[in-house]
Amino acid sequence: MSHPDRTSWIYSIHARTGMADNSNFPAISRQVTELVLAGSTAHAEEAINDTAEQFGDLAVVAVLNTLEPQVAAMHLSAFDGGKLSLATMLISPKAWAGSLAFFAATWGEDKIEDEPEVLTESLFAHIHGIVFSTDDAERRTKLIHEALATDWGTTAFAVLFSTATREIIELAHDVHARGAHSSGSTTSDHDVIPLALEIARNDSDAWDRVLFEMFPDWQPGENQLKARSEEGDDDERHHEYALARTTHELLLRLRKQVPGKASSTPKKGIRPSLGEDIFA
Amino acid sequence: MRNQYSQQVNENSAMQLAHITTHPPHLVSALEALARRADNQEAAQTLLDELSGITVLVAKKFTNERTADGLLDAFHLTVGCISLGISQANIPQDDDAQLSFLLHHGAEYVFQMGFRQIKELSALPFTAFVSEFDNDPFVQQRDIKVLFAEICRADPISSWTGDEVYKRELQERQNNQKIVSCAKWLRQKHYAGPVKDPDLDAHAVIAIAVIFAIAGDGPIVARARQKDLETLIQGVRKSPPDIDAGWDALLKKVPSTYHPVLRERMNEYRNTIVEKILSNTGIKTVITELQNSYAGSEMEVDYD
Repeated sequence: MSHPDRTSWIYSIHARTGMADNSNFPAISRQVTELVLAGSTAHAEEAINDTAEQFGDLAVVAVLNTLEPQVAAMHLSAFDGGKLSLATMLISPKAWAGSLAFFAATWGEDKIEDEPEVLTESLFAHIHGIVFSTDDAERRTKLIHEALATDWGTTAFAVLFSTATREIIELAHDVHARGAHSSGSTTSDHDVIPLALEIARNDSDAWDRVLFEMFPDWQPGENQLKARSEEGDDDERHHEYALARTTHELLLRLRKQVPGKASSTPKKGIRPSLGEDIFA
Repeated sequence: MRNQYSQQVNENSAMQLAHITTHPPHLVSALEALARRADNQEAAQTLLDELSGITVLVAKKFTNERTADGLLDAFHLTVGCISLGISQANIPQDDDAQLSFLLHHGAEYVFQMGFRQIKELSALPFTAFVSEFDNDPFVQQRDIKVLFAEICRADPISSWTGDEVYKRELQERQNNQKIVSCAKWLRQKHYAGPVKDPDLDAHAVIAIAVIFAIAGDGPIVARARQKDLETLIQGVRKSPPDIDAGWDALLKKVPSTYHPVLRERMNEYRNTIVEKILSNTGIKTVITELQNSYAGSEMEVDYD
């Protein structure tokens, strides 16, 4: 089994070697993919463990990088909170950010309507589990950075924070007034606050992006962030307030961002594509 | 208040207006020409596929393919780079001809042409000062990226001047290139053997060579110590030289491609620093001026 301490040097090696060579371990990637798609995540995890034993953790990183993002998403979603997976600790930040796009793939509109709390809870368990899976601060920062460099990742974090809009507003004011490092405690210690702090402290651009995703009408300096009140405040939509999106709204936004199959497969043109050579 | 304002407007309208022609990005004009063509469906579909493919590649390489903002930015860069490719191709300046060119070669190829122009431009010196960092691959990549973003960002709904910026920048850099190669040649022929220094202040090298040549037909000087300059000044003050004869002798030794650069410098110096060297101005003052405005970092200050 892997040990949390090992991950930090693995990542520093990984960062230096660049993205893993796609030609490595194709058989293992195929095997893991088949097992995941067959619904047998436990066996897939076993295959990953075997890979680690036999070839080392770096091989696992390489295999995880070659998985299709939707497959990685399926596998990771089977391990959250309670169960710890080697994949949770070893997946590269970029691959995780890519897989996050597919997290909402199985959400139906009914489910979003009827049990938004369940969906939000599973999303929280997943994100929290990945981000805090190791003690490696550098890895946490990279995970957050990569996830929040995507539109869907930004929406996913906004979903979590929308369950504690008032606390997030409090924190945002604090961060603005005193800087991220001297902020921290809110009046109620909600589960999402450590995650929010992690973002605010390490990646101020990412923090801004999440806030804009939560409060689309926010104009810093012009208007105030405001949570929606329980009674519904459609009549008092004042200009001086930037109202928060609801969790429901954000869940729908996240579902809509799940990539679909390309509507039309590009026709075989007369010309073969130059690909990356357009920069040659 | 109102009178004052209208007066100002009148004055302005009487003024000669600068001649400014604005045009949309060339790709947009070409697409408009496509819209006017009959039976354009297939060509339009092919172009659409190619353009979206290019946009994704640009986003992956330069912006962020995972956010809407990143893709929009990449889209603007794609429009501009293809427009640059079209604008620099040797074809008539008319929308239909440009469209035919685009369809014949395909958007990817035209993008590649535009991008190559950016790379070529980036390989030319930005200033006449060469440093060893210029050969660093990281710096080179960064410079390409900066130029690409500066010239190729085109918003399809507004006018684009990237082609003009490109032309201006190219001319300026080609000029720098001439100055740099002239200076490199002079360094090679330096009387005490070739000067080997990764840093090169091309203007200063040329200044030193031109100034030393006033003393008459002598060896080429590309780098000097302060003492050499003092000797030179004392010498020419004692017996006034025939400046033009000295310069002609220098020109005879130098390949004719570098003559314009040198002549320009000679004309500039004749009534400025050369006059000062020959006048009664204190030697210290002249040396200071030489050091600050002419010989710069190519002059060694220390005595030995």
